[in-house]
Amino acid sequence: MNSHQVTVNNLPAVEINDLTVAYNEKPVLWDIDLSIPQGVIMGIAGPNGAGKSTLIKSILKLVKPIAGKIKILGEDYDKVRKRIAYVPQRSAVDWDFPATVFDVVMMGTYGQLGWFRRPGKIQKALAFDAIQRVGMEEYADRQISQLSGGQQQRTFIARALVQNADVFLLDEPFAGIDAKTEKSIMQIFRELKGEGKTIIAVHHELITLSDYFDMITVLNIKIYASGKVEDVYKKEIIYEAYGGHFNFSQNESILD
Amino acid sequence: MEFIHDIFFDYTIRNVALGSSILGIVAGAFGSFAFLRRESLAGDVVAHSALPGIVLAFLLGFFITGSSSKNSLVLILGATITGFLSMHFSSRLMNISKIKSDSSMGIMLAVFFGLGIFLLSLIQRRNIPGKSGLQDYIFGSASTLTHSDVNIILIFGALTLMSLFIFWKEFKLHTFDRTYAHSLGFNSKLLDTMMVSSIVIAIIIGLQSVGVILMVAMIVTPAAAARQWTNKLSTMVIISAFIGLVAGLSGALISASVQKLPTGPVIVLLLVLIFVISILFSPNRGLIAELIKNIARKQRIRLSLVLVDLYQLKIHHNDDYNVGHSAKVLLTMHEQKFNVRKSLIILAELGLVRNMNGDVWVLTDKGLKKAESILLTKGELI
Repeated sequence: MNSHQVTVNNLPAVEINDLTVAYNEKPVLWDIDLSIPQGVIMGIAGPNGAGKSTLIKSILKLVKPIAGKIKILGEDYDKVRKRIAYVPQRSAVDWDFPATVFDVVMMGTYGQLGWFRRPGKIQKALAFDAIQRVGMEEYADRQISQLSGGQQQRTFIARALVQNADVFLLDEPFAGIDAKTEKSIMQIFRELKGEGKTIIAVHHELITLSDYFDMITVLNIKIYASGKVEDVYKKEIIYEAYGGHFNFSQNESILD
Repeated sequence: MEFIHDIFFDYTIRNVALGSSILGIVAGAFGSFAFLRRESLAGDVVAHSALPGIVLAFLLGFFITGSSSKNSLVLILGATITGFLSMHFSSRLMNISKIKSDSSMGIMLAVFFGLGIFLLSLIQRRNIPGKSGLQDYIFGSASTLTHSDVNIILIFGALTLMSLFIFWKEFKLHTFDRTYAHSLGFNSKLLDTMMVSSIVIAIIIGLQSVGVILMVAMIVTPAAAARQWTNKLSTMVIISAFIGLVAGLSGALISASVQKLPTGPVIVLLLVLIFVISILFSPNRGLIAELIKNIARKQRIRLSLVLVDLYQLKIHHNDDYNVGHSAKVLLTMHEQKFNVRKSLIILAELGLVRNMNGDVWVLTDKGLKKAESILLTKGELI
């Protein structure tokens, strides 16, 4: 498989039909239809509890839906697993785990290796490239508990870059990070987009939404809108989706 | 010398030494994973819940064969079954009720251990040969290890250690980030089963020597101590296994050479000693290292404060280069609870201030720049 190929087919990166997910009988996602084209930077926005993470996890088959069908690059997830990279929320792991930045980024090579095979020189070189790409080479040997939030996020992104995937799914990559990391992540997103890759990221902050993404899906259990920023980033849509959870006075101006 | 001779040639002592060394290594190695998975309490539940399994397996063997052989394999099987059952029940209890995991595990531990003690006391009143040895499973008795017991420990220990070696990469990945591991194609349920089984085996093979009550210490303590010394998983597992080996071996030998001294408590006391040393003296995470770091940090804050004060006096008075200020003035600027003069002397040693005469101090060029950069960056210290 040549992962550097610029996409020629017109298949959507992700195609979701009639997806419904429920935890304990309470629907988290309700009858979702969503098509995300290849080569875009898509933001999944919505208030807390909107099911944003669940949507990402459904695409990755990490949660079991009650109904619905999901195709990735026109195929079932299991067939194209190696072309997908996942960046979980930073808070999902214990950062006091005994590992260095390099150790964590190396984990990105494990998927291609599969069971039993051990990483060697090639994998180490790949890991180091990815660390350089996120500007963390100084910190390669640093214990992960000594990283700032932004450095943790860049470590996670480097781990995903190693996978050399075509579709990147990220859960809140911009949450609690510094300006430098924000810039560096945006830079990487644009580079990846230039290579024809698709970036799908969960994002809950409204103010920065239109700066980061070229497409937006507004989600709150059901989908309120999905499309190009200029079509979707509108007051009435955001108001409707966010309901009472949205602080109008602060953010009103940016939506005009 | 005679003692060393005995380790190799005395039947009992050789068994004790070999058996407890292996279980120390296995418990230490897998204890690291239990520790990092935050499953120490689960380990304690498994160990305690093994007791009714052991007693029931013994009784079953007695009623079926009519003789009371304490076949270790049968007892191990019984221990494993009830150990797993209690874990299963506690997670069921958690799912069907609103009881949290620590409580549900606590309940199951008490239920199963209570049942075990109850069965033991029932047996005490019956005339069943060989029943006395069962008591040893409570606090452990390494000196009761037979050659076949050691073989069983050896086989299971070797198998689990081998699986650790083969699946090292997968175990590491899964322990750190299970959802990510699953997204890479490593089935997390399968890996969970593999890891939990290994931890359970590590616990079960130690029960005869260490006992159900204190076995959890063999799992948790070496790992907690090892974590203090390293930031690398492989090193942590090796150190933890080594601590397990040292404590297991010496504890078992001490208890085997002193009459009626149960093994579990001896091993635990040794482990606690190693643990306390690790918590206090380890170079990076140790309490003493932390204390020294804090003192140094506070010192830097004090020095920075005095330097900035001196700078602000200079700005305020629009000083010429050579006009200094007295420590007395500096003292009144804040309600400083530390020795300003001492700080000034240290600052002078660092070349940041200069003593003019008596009590009067002035910033050097270097000190001026430093003070400006401290004020500019916020949070930067000397």
